[in-house]
Amino acid sequence: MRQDPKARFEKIFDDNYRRLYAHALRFVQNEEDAEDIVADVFYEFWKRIDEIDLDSGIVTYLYRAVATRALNLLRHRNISPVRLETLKAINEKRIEFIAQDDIYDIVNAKEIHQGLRDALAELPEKCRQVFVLSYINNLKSKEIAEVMNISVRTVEAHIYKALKLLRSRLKHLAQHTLVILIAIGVSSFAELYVK
Amino acid sequence: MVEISEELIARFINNSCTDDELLAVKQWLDESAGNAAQLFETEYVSDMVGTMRHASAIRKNISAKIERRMELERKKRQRRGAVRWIAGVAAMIAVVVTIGVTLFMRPDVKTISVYALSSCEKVVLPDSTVVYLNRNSVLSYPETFASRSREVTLDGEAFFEVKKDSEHPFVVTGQYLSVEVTGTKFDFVSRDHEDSSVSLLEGGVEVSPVNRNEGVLLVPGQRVSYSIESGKLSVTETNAAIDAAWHDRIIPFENANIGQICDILVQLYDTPIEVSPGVDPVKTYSGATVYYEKLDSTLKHLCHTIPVEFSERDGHIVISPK
Repeated sequence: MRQDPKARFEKIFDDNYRRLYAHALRFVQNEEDAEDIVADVFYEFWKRIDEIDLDSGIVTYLYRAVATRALNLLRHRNISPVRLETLKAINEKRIEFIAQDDIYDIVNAKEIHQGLRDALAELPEKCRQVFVLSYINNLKSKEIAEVMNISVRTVEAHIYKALKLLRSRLKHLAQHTLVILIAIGVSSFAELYVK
Repeated sequence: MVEISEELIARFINNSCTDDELLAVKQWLDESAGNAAQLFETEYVSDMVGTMRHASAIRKNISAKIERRMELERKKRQRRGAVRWIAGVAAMIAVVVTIGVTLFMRPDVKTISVYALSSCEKVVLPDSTVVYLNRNSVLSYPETFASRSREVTLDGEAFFEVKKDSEHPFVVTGQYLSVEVTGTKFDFVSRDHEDSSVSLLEGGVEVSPVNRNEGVLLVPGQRVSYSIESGKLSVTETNAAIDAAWHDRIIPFENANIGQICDILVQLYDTPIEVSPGVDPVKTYSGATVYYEKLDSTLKHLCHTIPVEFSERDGHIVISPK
């Protein structure tokens, strides 16, 4: 049942590019650098696809490779050694966690889309407004606080609450391995909100 | 028990934690697996939501970048293939023989290749030798070193801090030169179709053209260059620390006057620099400045340290008093 390398590579790329990009971005906080890092990692991976055992720990391998490159880049920036070490230690924890948690098994865009659509509909009004301003309109917490005339702490609390709800949705999805996929059109996330 | 607020988790996911907050998150994580689940699962959800809207643009950009890297590699292979077809055939026969011999001699050893494309890479080899790999360079080494010598290959530029071990010589092979050492620090530039060079900072090295046994011994502060046109080696005095400035991004200078500092910059950037008469030529400076890839940025930084300013005039730099 071995597929050809190109097909295997494309499947792994499609399943992972988004989260790896977000993973890189969390360190470097610059889109161009994040894209470069993910491209470097996949390029290396492509070159060695025959040597790498695709059945075991491919996701943690990719997460680790991205973090290594991102931290290397940070080392050349003006970042305190304490912060760098802390980020590194937290990342070790993260990778340990990814290796055994089931939420990372859901990579299918449609599945995630569906899960999020359901969860968003259930968010309380204020909470949903804050969440959309943050994730769709890309506003900073401070800006949202000003727009909505609430404190930054309240904004952060709303965001966390929303994420918590979405998380329990996805968790639920992950635990039901036999999910019948409903082919929903690739409606943009923004439309979800408008509806 | 460490307690952290939900707002702090939100800030962590937002990347807006202070150093202290980050430490608090780390301590809290260490306490229980439940905490890790709470943090990382939430973070994952945020990652997926955050990339949802631009997913196709992100996919397109990254794919294009991977494609570009593959294209570069293909071109490199083609160039190499065209120029060295005959050498390639000879090498192939040699490889077949070597593999044959090796298979009988010892178990298969995996070769690891490290590619530094967009940024410098620090690589630690199995013998704890440290290699700083410059951009656009490739270093290959065996997963475990052979019993007699430690052999690696380089395409590009790298700075080596070789772990001392006189029983097992360390050999770096490039396109045209091969460097043999026991324990030392040196910078090696080896690119296809370009003159190669080796600059020595500490210890001693023997440099010889690949496949020829007519090496030169270098002492610290010397550089040997190999001309691909003449096929000859030439040794010159050099400020080796400057040749290696890219790897730690430090340009050191000791009791240097403005003229000497400019000489260093010319060595690094190959751009003419003119010192205007108003600048004190005698006053000396000791210390270091930060190396940037662009001369502009390095000069900007330098002007904070010494009382000069710089401007650009038809392709060359003019240094004048502040």
